[in-house]
Amino acid sequence: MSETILALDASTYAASVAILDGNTIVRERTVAMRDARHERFMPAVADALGEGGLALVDRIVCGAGPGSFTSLRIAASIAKGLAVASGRPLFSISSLALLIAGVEGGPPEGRWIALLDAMRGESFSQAFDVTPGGEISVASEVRVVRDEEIAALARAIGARTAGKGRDLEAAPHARGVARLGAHRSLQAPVDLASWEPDYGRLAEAQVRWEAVHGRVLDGRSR
Amino acid sequence: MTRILGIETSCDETSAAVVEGTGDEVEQKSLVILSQDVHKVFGGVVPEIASRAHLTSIVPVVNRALSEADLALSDIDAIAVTYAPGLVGALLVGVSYGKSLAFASGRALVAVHHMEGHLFATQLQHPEAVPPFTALLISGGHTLLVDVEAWGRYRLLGQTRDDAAGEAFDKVAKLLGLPYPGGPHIERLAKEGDPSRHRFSRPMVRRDQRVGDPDYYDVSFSGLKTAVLNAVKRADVETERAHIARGFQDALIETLVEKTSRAARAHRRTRVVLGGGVACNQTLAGAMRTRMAKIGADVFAPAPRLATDNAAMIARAGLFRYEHGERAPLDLNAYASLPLPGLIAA
Repeated sequence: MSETILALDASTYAASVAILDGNTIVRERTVAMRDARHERFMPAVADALGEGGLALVDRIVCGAGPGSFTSLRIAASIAKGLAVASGRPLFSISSLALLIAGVEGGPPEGRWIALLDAMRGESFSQAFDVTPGGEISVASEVRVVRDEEIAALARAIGARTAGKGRDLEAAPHARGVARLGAHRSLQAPVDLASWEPDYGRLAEAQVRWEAVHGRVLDGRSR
Repeated sequence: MTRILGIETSCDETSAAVVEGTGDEVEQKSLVILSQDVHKVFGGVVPEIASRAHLTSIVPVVNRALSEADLALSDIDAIAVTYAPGLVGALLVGVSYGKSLAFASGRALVAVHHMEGHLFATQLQHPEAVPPFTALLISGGHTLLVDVEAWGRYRLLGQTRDDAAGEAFDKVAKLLGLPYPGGPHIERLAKEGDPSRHRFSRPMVRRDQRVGDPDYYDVSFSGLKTAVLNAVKRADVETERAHIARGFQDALIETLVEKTSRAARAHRRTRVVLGGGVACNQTLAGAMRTRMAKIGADVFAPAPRLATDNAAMIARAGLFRYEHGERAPLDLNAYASLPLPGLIAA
């Protein structure tokens, strides 16, 4: 019997949720996270779960970033609350992997650099290889690259780019979990208390403090 | 009888608590407060760092509040969460966690205004601190003078026009070379100070002010801070530190006491309730008691754990809102600023 997965991702201002039965997408939703009056991700998660709620869900998978700090934290807070209240285990998955794996109908074969806006003229990047059969494997670490360096980087490793306004128009989507079953981070659940997203950057005040003091502050989240 | 789990993440304290009761018969079953020490090195709260720390504290803090109350989530009727005012990124951790916890456990969700929480905090410790009363809420972020006619019916009489009372303490502490947060250091030092060495004028306090004047109840502390700065420049700080601290604290306290006294007299209140972190200042509470005794009013000040940001007050205010049928939707958002609910014309 295949297991039912609730997958969430909010690494950009658009959030997504998907209900998977094994590798089959049962339902999915994409929403603009917030405006002045509403936080829309929680209603979208509730809507995707439907009347059965969490009763039929075996595990929860949350996009881990990098990306928008506040969006990542909303998704992580929701995922933790759902996991605590339901007793289901929580897993995390790179949002850059969800960018490649979340392409509707599956990503085209070849080497891809997944790119997410890191602000200040930079992007979070990670390379992935996609086989003709649609299997996805990680081909590089996550790096922050200057936007003007992206083209040269892609040429150097023989990759095309995927992301907003790139060779392949793509954004992280929770449905991508269906194609990442073998991914390492989906093999063991996270510790609910201490888990936090991979924000991709330190808080700005911490960067300045560490530059002035020449040492790491308290080993807090990176 | 209703049981409420409260969650508070508006600034740099991750807190959860359980209260149970009916109406004003309420018992605090647990209160867990995790203060983020990391901000001390910055001399103030860094919003992004606070928000990150809330996310890695929220699960153990809420679990411990339940276990200390010897209760499970299924024993709770509703989850009350602070949704405003505060640091939006920090608030969103509590709001999002509270929403998903309520949704997944089938519990009701109640949204609580942080400052309304402060109005209720003292009643958890002093059962007789119930409306009608005059409330003075003084913290690092707020200075509010409120007439509480009944729970949920508030007249905002006065507020600060610039710095909050706690902010004034922090800024003056910095000028005097004292650590953050400055309140406790200034109060300790002021005890050794000579009140006649530095007499600063009492901001926005004049004999000719009348009810209806825009500055009758309002306060302002930025001028006082500037006066302290000038005194620091003129004096040898090493020898004058305690005297300046005394002069500053006397001016701030006398101003707040005068404004509170005006509010209590104008509305004929016989109870004055203090709240917020600055209410931990014993000198202030003592001065307030002395003055209010003259007009026959009792002063109720909360213990430090209930004065500073805490989830017990959120659960307590949440109980009131829950009993009045209020439920928050799943699209509940967080707000940096928002007027107190239930405001009536002053």
